[in-house]
Amino acid sequence: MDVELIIDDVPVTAAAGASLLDVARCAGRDVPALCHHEAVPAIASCRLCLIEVRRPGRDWVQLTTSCDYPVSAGLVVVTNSPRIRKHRGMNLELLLRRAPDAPVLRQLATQFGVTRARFAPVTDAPLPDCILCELCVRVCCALDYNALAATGRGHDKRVGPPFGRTAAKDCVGCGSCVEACPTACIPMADTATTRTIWGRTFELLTCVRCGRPITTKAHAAAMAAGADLPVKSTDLCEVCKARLTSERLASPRR
Amino acid sequence: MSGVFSDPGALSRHRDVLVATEDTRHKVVAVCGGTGCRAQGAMKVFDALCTEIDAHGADRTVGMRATGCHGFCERGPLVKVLPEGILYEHVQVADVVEIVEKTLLGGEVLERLLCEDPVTGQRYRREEDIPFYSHQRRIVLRDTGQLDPTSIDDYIAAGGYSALVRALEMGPTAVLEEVKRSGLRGRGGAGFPAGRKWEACRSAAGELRYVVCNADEGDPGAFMDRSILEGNPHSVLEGMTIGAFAMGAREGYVYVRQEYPLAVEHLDLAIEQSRALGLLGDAILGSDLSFDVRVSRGGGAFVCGEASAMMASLEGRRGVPHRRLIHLSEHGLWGRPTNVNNVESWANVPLILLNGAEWFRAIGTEGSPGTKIFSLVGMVNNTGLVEVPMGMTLRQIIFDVGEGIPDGKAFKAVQTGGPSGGCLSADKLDVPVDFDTLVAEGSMMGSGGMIVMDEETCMVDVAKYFLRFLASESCGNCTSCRDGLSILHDLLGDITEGRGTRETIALVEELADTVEATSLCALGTSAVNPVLSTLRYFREEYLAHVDDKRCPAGVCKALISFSILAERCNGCTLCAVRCPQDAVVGEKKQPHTITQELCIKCGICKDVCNRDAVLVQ
Repeated sequence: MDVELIIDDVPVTAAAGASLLDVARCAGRDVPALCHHEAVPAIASCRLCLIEVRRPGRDWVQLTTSCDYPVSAGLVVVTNSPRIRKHRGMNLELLLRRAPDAPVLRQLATQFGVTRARFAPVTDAPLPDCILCELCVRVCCALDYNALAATGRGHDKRVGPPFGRTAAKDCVGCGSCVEACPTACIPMADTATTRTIWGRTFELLTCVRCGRPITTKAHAAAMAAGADLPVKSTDLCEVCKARLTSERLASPRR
Repeated sequence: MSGVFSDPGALSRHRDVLVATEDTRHKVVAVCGGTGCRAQGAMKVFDALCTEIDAHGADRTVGMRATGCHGFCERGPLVKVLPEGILYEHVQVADVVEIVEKTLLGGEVLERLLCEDPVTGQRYRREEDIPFYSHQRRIVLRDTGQLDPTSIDDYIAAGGYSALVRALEMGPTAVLEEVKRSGLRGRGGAGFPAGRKWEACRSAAGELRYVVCNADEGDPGAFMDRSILEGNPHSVLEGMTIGAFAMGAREGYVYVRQEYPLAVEHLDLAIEQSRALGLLGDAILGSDLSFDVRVSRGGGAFVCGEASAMMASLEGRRGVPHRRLIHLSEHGLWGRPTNVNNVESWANVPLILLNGAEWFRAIGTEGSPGTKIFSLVGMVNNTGLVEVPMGMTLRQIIFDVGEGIPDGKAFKAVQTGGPSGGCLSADKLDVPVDFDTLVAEGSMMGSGGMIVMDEETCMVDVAKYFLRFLASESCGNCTSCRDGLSILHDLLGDITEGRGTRETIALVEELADTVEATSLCALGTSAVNPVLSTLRYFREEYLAHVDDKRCPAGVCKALISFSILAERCNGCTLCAVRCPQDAVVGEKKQPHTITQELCIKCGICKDVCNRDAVLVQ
């Protein structure tokens, strides 16, 4: 069901229940967020996507995060105000302690005028530059591998293999976590034939035509098992699959 | 035991039999078996009493009970003799023979074991004469010091489960109306009207719904819920069963901390006993009510007391709060309508049903009816568990029930509401304690922790202590709470260690503002209360730390030094002998001095000095 709301004085129509962050961004508003990905549930961890919202029938304005705020009819939303900038700036300053060199944070700092570093950087994090947003964990769980988890509390919160393991037992080496990580802090090293990630080394599956690596053999097997397909179905890389298709189309036998 | 009660009549016949048996006993000895008294050896006293009574062949005339907490933990182990209500304090195994021979068989009161007034030194004969008890209004805790919590018969004999019978007669709608009219507000901290929450859950769409008892009491120093579960678990089960009847729930959960082994043991036993008598299970007391309770043990995360984190934990996920735009009463455990109340709220329910909403409303204040249990701890003469009517002033609780500050020191502050509550200064002592007033004064009711501080407490140090607790208990989800709290803790560390400036205070205020404004759950939004309330009421103390590099209370080691007043010192050498650093030097019978370079500011010299000659500044 579509509902009407107002974002920064502009009437907007959106699907009820959609993430207010997605809706605001679709409406062309620049709302920063590091822990948000439309494919996984929001946990509102980074606290940057702050907005001000007034619900119909209420006379007070609430400062809140937009990624986990479901759209409903009659909301009046402001995405930029002195109050928002003040708190967003402070949370950005806090995140910069954890990932002072991450390009995405440097860019946001410039954009939002955060020039000071008043707090000592975090030096004891096992995963430098990690902002603990759990996108890696959420992506891994959404793919049903459940190889990663958030553990610990407060300053000691960690993401990675659960139960204090150094190697992620259920990891298949798909690299989706690396793809999702906003600060690119997850180490993944590929050679011509192997991939090392989360304390494990996987054999790579190479394309039968061109020899380029496709993904790990473990990942291919997991995908084939999940889709109930023979493992063979994934032995071509994307480029060769496309080429093969065009070759077939061009084939005179057709 | 008489098998399953097929109807309310069977329950009341069983009660009649129990009461008749009790009548043949002339006396009952109630030994406090609460955790505090157990730690002080109460169960050894209990065993010795049983053996001694048996040896005198008096087991038919004297009943023995290891009960729940009597509340006066300061004086444990406690032994109460009923029906006279004689209360003996600090009872040791060595006292047992005398108690049995003189008091139980001879009817003589042992003067030396009676509770002594910390102020006047007077000894009180009966429990109700002791100021600690006489200023209280114990309704929820009434039976915890009388009943054996492992015996359902004790509970039934004392009228237990008759509130459930009354509820079944009234019907669910009337029960709900009664609870609504009583004005009962949630005792877990927020003070939300229980009746309104029940109504929302009852009218939410769906077949399945749950009632949950929040027993994840995590505040340092708080043991209200623990004591109720340990001392009277059936009162909670009866309350939950009545709630389930009113809301139409068939299943209930008690989420209790793993660190409360005795509470879990007594609760498990109580559930087992209730099932055996048909007070839990299908067709309870022959009615069409079916309800059962399961115990879920938490791993000791403070944040799991937050309802959405608790739901996650109950479902087997990591206990992390999440946004609740839809109330739990509509979308709670496994997406079903769920009602969460804490232990003390549930324990109030049978009392309301039995005595009526008007009786309940007559206690306490208009906006906050009933009583509230506090764990009164810190620098107060009578520490322990107290239950007082809402609206009693802080002064009455601390100076009448608690009988003031030990060693004649001055009151400085009281912290209410647990770690994320606020510290109130002496000029707030006449504030009535109820949900709304405390919030207006910058603190909160919380679940009922009350920590009293004397003049030798440094408020910056106190704020730092609570922040350390909260920073380590933050679930780590929100940037603002996870990192903000640990930085705030470090900034306060700068202030207490002499590195702070006025800019540090400004930065503390700026950061605290963001933590409060942008954290997801109540842990984060209220975690800055200890800092903000101490800055509000004790700002000069912060300024003394940063401007003069001085700790007025003499607590912050980096900012204090110890010296000996020559005119008071008589050279007794006591401090010199005890100093672990050999920092005190001086000839016998001559004034001593402290070598500052060696002094580690442990304070032993000040503690041992008989002439008050050690100066801290």
